[in-house]
Amino acid sequence: MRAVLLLALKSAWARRLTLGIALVAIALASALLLAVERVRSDARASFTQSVSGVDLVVGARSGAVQLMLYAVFHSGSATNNMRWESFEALATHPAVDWAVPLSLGDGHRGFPVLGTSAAYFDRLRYGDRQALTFSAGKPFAEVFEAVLGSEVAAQLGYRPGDHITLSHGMAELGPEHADKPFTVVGILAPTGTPVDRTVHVDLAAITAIHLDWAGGAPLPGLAIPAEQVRKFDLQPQEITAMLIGLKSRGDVFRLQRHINGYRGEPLLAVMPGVALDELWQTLATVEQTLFALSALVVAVGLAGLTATLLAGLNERRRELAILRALGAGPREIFMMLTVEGLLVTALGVFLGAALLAAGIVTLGPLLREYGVHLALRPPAANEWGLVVSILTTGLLASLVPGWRAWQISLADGLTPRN
Amino acid sequence: MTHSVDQAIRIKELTYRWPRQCADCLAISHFAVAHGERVFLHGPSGSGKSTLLALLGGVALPQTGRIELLGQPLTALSAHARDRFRADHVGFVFQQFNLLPWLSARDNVLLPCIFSTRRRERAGDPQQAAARLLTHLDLAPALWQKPAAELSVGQQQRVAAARALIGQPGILIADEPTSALDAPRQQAFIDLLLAETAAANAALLFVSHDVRLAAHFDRTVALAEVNCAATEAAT
Amino acid sequence: MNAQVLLAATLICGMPFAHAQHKHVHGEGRLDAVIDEGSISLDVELPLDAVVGFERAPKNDKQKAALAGAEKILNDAATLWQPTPAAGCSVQSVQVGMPKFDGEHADIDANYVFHCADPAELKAIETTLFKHFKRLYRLETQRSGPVGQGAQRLTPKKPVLVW
Ligand SMILES: Nc1ncnc2c1ncn2[C@@H]1O[C@H](COP(=O)(O)OP(=O)(O)O)[C@@H](O)[C@H]1O
Ligand SMILES: [Mg+2]
Repeated sequence: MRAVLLLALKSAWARRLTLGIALVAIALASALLLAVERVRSDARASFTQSVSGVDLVVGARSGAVQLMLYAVFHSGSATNNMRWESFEALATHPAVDWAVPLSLGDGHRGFPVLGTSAAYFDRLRYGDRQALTFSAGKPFAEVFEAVLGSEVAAQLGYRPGDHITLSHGMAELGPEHADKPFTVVGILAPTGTPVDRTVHVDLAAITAIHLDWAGGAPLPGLAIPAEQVRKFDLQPQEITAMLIGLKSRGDVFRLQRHINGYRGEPLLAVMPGVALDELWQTLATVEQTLFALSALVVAVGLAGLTATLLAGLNERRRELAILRALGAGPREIFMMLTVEGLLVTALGVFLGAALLAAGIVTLGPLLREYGVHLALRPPAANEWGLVVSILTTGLLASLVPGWRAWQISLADGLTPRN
Repeated sequence: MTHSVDQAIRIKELTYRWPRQCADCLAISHFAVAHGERVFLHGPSGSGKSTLLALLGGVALPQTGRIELLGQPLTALSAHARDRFRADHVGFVFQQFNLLPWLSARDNVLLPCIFSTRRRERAGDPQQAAARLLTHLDLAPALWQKPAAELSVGQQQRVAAARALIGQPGILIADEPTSALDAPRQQAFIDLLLAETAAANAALLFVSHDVRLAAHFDRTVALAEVNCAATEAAT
Repeated sequence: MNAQVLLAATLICGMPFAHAQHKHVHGEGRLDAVIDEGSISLDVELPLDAVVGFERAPKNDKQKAALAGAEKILNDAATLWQPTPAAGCSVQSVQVGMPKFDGEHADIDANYVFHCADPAELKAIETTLFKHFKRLYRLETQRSGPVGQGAQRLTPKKPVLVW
């Protein structure tokens, strides 16, 4: 039996071109299927990890997901602002433990700038309720100080003490706030969340750089130098959103209702975990469709393998007859074909997983801009499940040529008839 | 009942009909080949020569009758045991395409030693045995490592003969091994085959439609003489 | 790639904010669950139609009896909600607000509070609401608990809230 399997390997190697094409098809299909699954699960994980510890996200009334995506993930379209008075009123609500303002809209070389309070660094939790830590420096204490996410610092090569200028809007070529440079005072440790891609400055700084601006452009003839800004009231009129942590979890629904019915202005309070789950529910059909399509692609790939092996069988009738004359039984011939198919499937899946890894390395940074962190890691349980089902289907697909070879070897005996 | 240990091949009261055929292809009341005997069996094409060889190889089973090879009743063995027996005791040379094209000439010769422990042991050192046989069969060492597909038809047939002979099987069966060769080479190949089977003391059943090749054999048999099915069909 | 498709889909759908506005959907109830330390608080809102099959003030004795029967079932917190047995939870309070029949649609609001002796063991809560009220076909659930927040749709086939 071992001898026959060894011969099967050599025989397969002799037909490496045709088998290689089947192999590539299976590899691409498996990579696609594994990627769909990986992106699905890692997208969920990375989105969920970004909001652990926040009880409510509050902003002007819009869509829950739109608010979440903009306020927490800094992607999607801007929402309306909420008033500063509303922030103050909610921050002092008896049920509220902590509140952090968020002000978005500016950027630095493609990275979003977040105006917030220093409390942000103490309060925000990510992953499994871990606190933010600094890999260098400290939180901002002055108006024109900035704290960088790990990726911003790594990609742009910044260190504490460097100076940066912000641009108006997220576009890389937006008008510059060149007259008011910021000093980098801290760099955060990597979190695998949108924090890594964010430039953090004091909320007051956002007001300060816009003192001499109106309607998205500098006011002509009015230039307030950086040293002078402290003379102005730097309290903002409006912010983009706020994060709330509660003293007691039990108050969340009550406070949410309170905010959604807030008298001062139309506000929306979102429970981030709930909104994400609801988002996944909405996307379930899309996910399932994608999954079904890629499963179909795998099926097509495996059907290609069956076709390749079956087509090859006709040319291999002589080979089978020779093996029969040498003493191989129909059972061994059957095994030989089946093992060959299974081997190609296994190699294909392995190659597919390697392709996925390569894809994560090359395309991962791109997805990170959308808040999805794909990590290079061994397959999780659900992915092993997929691997096993591809292999099982591959085995079934290989049984067909195996069975056909069995038939042929019984009918032909020692001399192929054609 | 005469004991048949002295016979390499013994067939008694055999009838064989291919599946889904209405007439018997073979009906042989008696046919035998002695140990070391070299028999030329001839008959027109379609007369059932290859069918007989399939029965001797144990890949087909007669509906009635008895086949003994080297004293072992083949008909009493399971399909798996017949496969083993074939690997251990019978060497085959066919008309053409005898070799696995993706193996070298030498590896093709060594194949029986992979399939049969008995033949590996009887070969002694298989590598040396292969080298000896290839030399005897006039194949230049330069060709031994070449993929079989790159050899000429004549060279391929000689490699096939070496493979059939390695490990000294008791029986050699050749099914029209010369029909793909040009006339001058046919007799040379047959002479080589005869010499090597004699050296290995194996019985040789050589099958061909071409009676002109019968010259150097111990005995010549026309299939029609032993096959009653043919005469029945003819009348 | 896929994430972009997902995000694009998200943005296009522009998810309506559930629960913020009190929609009334026939056959669909809502559940707000807070699991905090050793206590469970369940806020349920059920359309009257899903519970008794009508929405207006009861017109005859049969409808009155149905209403009374439903109220009785809804007050039986221990059969209606079954937290993980190992957690040793017991009913602390039950409040069932039957509708007053003034507006267009009538809802039942109920609140259940449990106390659990061993909160670490608490992994799930099963409801028998669907067995009692056949016209109820789903319960949109929001939860805030030890492993964070989440939303889940409970149905007669999946009547268990897990986290
Ligand atoms: N595998 C087979 N299935 C059915 N009939 C066969 C098969 N092989 C041979 N035959 C039939 O048996 C007869 C003898 O064929 P064969 O033994 O190949 O003749 P020969 O080798 O003498 O040319 C032919 O009529 C052929 O059609
Ligand atoms: Mg023939």
